[in-house]
Amino acid sequence: MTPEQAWKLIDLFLDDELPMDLASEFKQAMFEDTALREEVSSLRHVREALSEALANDEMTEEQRHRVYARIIAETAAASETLQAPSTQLSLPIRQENPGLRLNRETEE
Amino acid sequence: MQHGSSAERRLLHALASGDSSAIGAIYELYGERIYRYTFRMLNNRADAEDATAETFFRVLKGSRELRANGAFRTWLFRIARNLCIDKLRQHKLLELPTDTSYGSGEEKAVLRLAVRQALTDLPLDYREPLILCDLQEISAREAADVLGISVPALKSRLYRGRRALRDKLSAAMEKAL
Repeated sequence: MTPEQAWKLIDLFLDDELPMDLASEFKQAMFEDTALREEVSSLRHVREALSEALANDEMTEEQRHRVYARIIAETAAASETLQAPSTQLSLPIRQENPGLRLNRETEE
Repeated sequence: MQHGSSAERRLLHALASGDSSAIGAIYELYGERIYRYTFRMLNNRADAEDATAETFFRVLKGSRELRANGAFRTWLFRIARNLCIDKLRQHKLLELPTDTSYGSGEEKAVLRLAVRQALTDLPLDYREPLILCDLQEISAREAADVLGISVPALKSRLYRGRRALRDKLSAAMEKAL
């Protein structure tokens, strides 16, 4: 087995994509092989660290508004250049809530 | 709203028919994901904002060519990716700094910073599949389409990237402790 094939197997196991019989065999192999166990454990740890470290990347409300305002402003500017009507460019944000709450009517 | 749902198809149809107001709902659907993706690619909030706004503006500009056939998300990420790559090239030329602010909790902040730095230091070929598959939870097929490579090539980059990240992270943590 090449290193790449071994990596594939380990990643399939970590992704829960191994068929059940192969997953059982893999678990047995892990039980018997310390190096394999450590490899799986370290990769699992890296994935968890990655998800945790980047879990708080979301936009702030202020950013959300700012980005949306820019999209609209740039669109309006482009429309003016093309002398197109700009009546369709109003912000679909509910006025009573300063947080971005876009019109959800289309979902229903 | 689910990706590829009938509501999404209606929105895309509206946009393709010239109803620019539909961009608001599309932004609500995908704005956060695109921002996260661009932030992870660029490691800089200001640039991520720029790239996110530009992505949706380009969607509007290209809306006449929109096809509500399920490939919209791939197209959207591909636009964002191209913008990120342009910005990364500019950064390389100008050597602009990335965001390195700490959050709350010192130990967690050190780990967060180490992980972010390790990810930033990875070659782009390894970083992109990790961001798309492990962080954005996009399927291998879609991620491969976004990157313009085959699924086996994507998987190979993913395997190698995960291990390269582990090695960089181990070294960074040893230094930090």
